[in-house]
Amino acid sequence: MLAIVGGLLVSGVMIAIAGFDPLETFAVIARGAAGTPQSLGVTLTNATPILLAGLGVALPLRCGLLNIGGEGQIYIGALGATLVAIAFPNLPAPIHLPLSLLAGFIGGGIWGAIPGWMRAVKGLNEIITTIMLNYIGFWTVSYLVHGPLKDPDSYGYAWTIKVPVSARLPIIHEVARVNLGLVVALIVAALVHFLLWRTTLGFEMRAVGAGPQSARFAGIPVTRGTIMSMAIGGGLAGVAGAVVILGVQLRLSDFFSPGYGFDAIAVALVGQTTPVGVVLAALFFGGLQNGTGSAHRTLGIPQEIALVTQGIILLFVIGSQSLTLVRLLRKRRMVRLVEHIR
Amino acid sequence: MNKRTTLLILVAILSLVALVGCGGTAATPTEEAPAPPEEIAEAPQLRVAMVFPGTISDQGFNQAGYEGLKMIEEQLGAEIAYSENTPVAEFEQVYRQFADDGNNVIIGHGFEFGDVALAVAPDYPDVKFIVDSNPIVAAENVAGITGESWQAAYLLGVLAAHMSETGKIGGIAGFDFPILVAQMEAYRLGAESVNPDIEVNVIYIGSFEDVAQAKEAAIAQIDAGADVIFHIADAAGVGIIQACQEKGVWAIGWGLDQNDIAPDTVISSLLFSGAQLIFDDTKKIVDGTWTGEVRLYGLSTGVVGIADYHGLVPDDVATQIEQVKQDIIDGTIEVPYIETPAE
Repeated sequence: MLAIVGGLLVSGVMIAIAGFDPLETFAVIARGAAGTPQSLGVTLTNATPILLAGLGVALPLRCGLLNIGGEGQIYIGALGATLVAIAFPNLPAPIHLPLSLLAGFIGGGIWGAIPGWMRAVKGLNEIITTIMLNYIGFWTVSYLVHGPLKDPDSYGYAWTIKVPVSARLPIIHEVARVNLGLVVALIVAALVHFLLWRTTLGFEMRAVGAGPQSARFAGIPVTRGTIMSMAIGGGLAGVAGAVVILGVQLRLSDFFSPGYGFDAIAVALVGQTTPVGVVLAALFFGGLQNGTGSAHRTLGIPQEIALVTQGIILLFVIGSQSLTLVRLLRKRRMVRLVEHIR
Repeated sequence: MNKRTTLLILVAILSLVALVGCGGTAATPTEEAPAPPEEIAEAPQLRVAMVFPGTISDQGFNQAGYEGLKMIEEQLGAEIAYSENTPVAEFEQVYRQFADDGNNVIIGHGFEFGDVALAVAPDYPDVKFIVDSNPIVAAENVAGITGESWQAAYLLGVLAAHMSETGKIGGIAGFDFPILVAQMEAYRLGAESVNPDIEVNVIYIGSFEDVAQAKEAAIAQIDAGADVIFHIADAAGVGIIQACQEKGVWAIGWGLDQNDIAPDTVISSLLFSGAQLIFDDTKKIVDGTWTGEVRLYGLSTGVVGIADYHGLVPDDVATQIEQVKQDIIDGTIEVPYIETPAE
């Protein structure tokens, strides 16, 4: 709470310097985030992909792995979902939609499993490999939508044809225009919670995260935990990509993600890597983005100031919790040190 | 960990409550009734919102659109709002928010807003949607508008063919976007109308920013014999003009009169005013002549044209080009819109 008040104070000064009324601005931000059914709907729609991708970061983090590859996993997941969606246009919706979402999960999962395997078997730093795979994922999709998958009637724009209606996430609230993706995301969050605290695999992952050495001594399959956490994490990010395509954008294009994979890292950290925390953090993020965007559009506040406001508030929130991050990084270093000495 | 989680949940809930709370009180002023309907016979206040894909200070496409929006504000007395750097993910929600906020004209700056305009328009029958640089979308309350820049490119092709001594001319464009291809192909047709055997070499370099690469492309064309080069490469075009200046051949610019970059080299430029385009179309709404259709703005309007020759072109050539221009305006010459590159 203190963090948010502090963030508001500092950004209020910024807004005042830029020549706008801070109180009015915050009122508009709040109204833009949740003041009307429509704006609340936008907040929820914004929150959906970062919620899923945030889980995709939080889960490997529980296993002691920092997944920076959300963006690449989102692109490959979106690719998988789009391919299945446009390859089988005649399937009935109850089969087609889940199948497309599953394809998103598998696509992102492969993109997560690769660095997971490299880490577990070859000892390669997953931070580096996931960043590299971001580029490969992004440019692969870029190539495909510029080439083989390009809509022939796109007038030169690099995008695919629209996904058929049977693969689209239906709107579940007409006024707020929220699609089924939100429900999918919440169910997935519940499943992740169940996985982490109610299954053997989840226990293994957490044990590995707590200390790979002791986990190994205790007879826990460290390799399996490492690979599985990255694969599932990547899969969750892949579903985020699928939900964006099947629910909002309806066709795959390059630059379709405004950086969900990177917001996801902040969401996972603010949410303390628990599924419940990630859900709340994603809603907060979604509302903040929507609200500041709304201030830009209705008050004419320069976008830069709107983004700075957003950044300052986030900085305060994350800053107030920095202990988590420090603790995590310190643990990683200790582990490395131990491995090094041995 | 548990304590922290509880704390976090508490914080999130409190902030949500705070947000919603503020929302409740703040919402009242804007939700006043939108002016009594019968008494005022005047048209309602014009409120124009514009959605930009990029930054309004980009010295190029977006800035031109923003200048048009400012013209609408100053000369038509409109209230304006805009969204810049709008990600594809947010097109629809931005459109809906602008419509819900009571804007009665929404302009999408770029071809890519065609889909969203068509999708949103039926829900807001009283709002007029304009998509500029889009020659295909049209609906009851949606108009796709485009400047017929390819007409001007045809004229520049005529000019280039007259000025070339080697019988070889070049064209360099940033990307093979249909609107750019159409201009390059019109340039080719214009040149061939003067000299059927002329060799027109067109390159798409894949960048609007890479000055060095653009310069290389220009030097390659010049080395192959081209002695007039027309560019549509935004910022990278500077490199092309530099190459022409160094090699002593003619250059043709794009966008604004680019003669000031190299006064002895740039014989003319394709003039395209994105600002004029959206201003002219919005003015139709004020005049009551606006309809939902595809509208093209050609050489007879102030939207497209060619720049002054700055004394570099012989008078008889200038006269001939003036004649061709008149023929295009009259419809005697029809410049086709070709969206796939030749060869």
